Amino acid sequence: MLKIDNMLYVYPNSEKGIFGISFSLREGEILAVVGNNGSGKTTLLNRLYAKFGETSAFVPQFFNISPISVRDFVGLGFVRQFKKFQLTHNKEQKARIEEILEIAGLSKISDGLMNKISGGERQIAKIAQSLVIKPKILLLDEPISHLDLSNSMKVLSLIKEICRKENACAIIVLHDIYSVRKFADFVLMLKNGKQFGFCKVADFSDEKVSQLFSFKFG
Amino acid sequence: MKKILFLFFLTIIIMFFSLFCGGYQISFSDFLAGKMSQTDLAVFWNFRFYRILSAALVGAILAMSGLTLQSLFANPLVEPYTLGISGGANLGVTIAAVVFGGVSVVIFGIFGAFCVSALLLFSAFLPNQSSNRILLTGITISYISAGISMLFLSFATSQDIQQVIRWGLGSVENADRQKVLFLTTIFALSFIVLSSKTMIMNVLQFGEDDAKNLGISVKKERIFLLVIASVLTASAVSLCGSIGFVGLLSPHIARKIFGEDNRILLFAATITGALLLSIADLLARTLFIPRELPAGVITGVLGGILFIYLLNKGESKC
Repeated sequence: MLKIDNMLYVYPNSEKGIFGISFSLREGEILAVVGNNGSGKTTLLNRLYAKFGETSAFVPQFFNISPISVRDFVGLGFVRQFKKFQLTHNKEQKARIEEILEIAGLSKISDGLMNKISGGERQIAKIAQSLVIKPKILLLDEPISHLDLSNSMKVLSLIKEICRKENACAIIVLHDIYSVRKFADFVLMLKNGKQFGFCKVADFSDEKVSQLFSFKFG
Repeated sequence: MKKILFLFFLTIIIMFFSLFCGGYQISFSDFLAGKMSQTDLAVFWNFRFYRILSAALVGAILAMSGLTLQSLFANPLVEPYTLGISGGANLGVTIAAVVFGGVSVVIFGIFGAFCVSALLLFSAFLPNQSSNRILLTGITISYISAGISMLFLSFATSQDIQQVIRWGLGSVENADRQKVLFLTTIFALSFIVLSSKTMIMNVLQFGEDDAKNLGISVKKERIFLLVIASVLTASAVSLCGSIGFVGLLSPHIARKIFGEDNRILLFAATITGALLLSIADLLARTLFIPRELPAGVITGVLGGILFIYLLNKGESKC
């Protein structure tokens, strides 16, 4: 059970930040964070990552790759758990990498180079990389913002499946309302760094959407 | 793995072969029969053996330093030169030659290199520091030290100037047992430490943000690696002058052949560096007998041409 009560963060020398964020989430559930640009979504993820450290994993919106194999790329997720003078993955870590490659559907291309695979596969590989350490909280910043619909659905289904399988919860920044309704269990609405609302996805009505984003349908 | 072994043995063979090449002829059959004359032995050990060893060591050290710097700054352009570490050593040598009449050139060189590294470290501690800013700082430092060197040189006698320029061209000709022992120690220690950091280097290559998100304490690791790279560069550059380009070239050549995994690259780049400088030194000694060229000439010209060829061949990776 993840419970955030009145979270507050102000950037140094500025009036911007996040103010009074509260929500709770159980294992296996997915929370979508929605709001306009600059409403504090990424700040919230960053603060959560700072707060939970190693029990959480953070997948940023933009990330770099290098031309190494998918398997090696995913394996780098273990780096923080490496002991001094540990040169390569131990047996359990290797097994976990294969397991996660299997779950993520990357087994077939695991020997391919990261710069040769498609954007959707890269995104999945990055998520897989963050998942190898079995985080309890998965933080994803706009994971599907540059993917087409079929890849978006693939990525989100994978996140959902993994959360259920490994008893983790996911907090995902999303801009696409369709994906929110399809995949999230709860919705956290942010406006100007403040909490605009927190509700079950069933209650995330068109009216709320238009209020949050300040526009009218039709 | 096979490729690495091949490179390794190629390096050993070339080093062995070089023992018998040069202005003074030593015949291979005499060596096998153990019938070398007194002069033969003297040339063999005093002039060639240590020199060849130190060429390979300096090449390996510069390559290691270049690889470390490239991954810690997540920037393929970085090497001891672009960061100003070599420039600092150069300034130290200039001051030693001009002001103190050529005594303790090596010590001044090391001192200069460390001063620049300390400045870089200091700038790495500043708030909101990024790798690009550190890189720019390094480039600026190398301009500043070049400027100050020129200032000193404009007051120097022609003899001093010759000494500084000779040093600046880079050569391993004055190697002896002490230097080789010193280089071997530095090389072995850094190699062991660096090989334990190859995974972290793999992650640092993605840049600051990604490395942080993967749970690496970026600042700490960067400073650690920067210290090692500085020690490596300072010791190589001060003993053998600024031998250009090996630090930039070897990691890139190794990448082209072995891919981007630093766990393999550390071995590959090190051996490539040793091989490059061994060949360069061999050519420098033998191309224009009896005149010897500085090894820097060969690495600069031939190495550069080789690099441009490799860079533009095949698909681009960097």
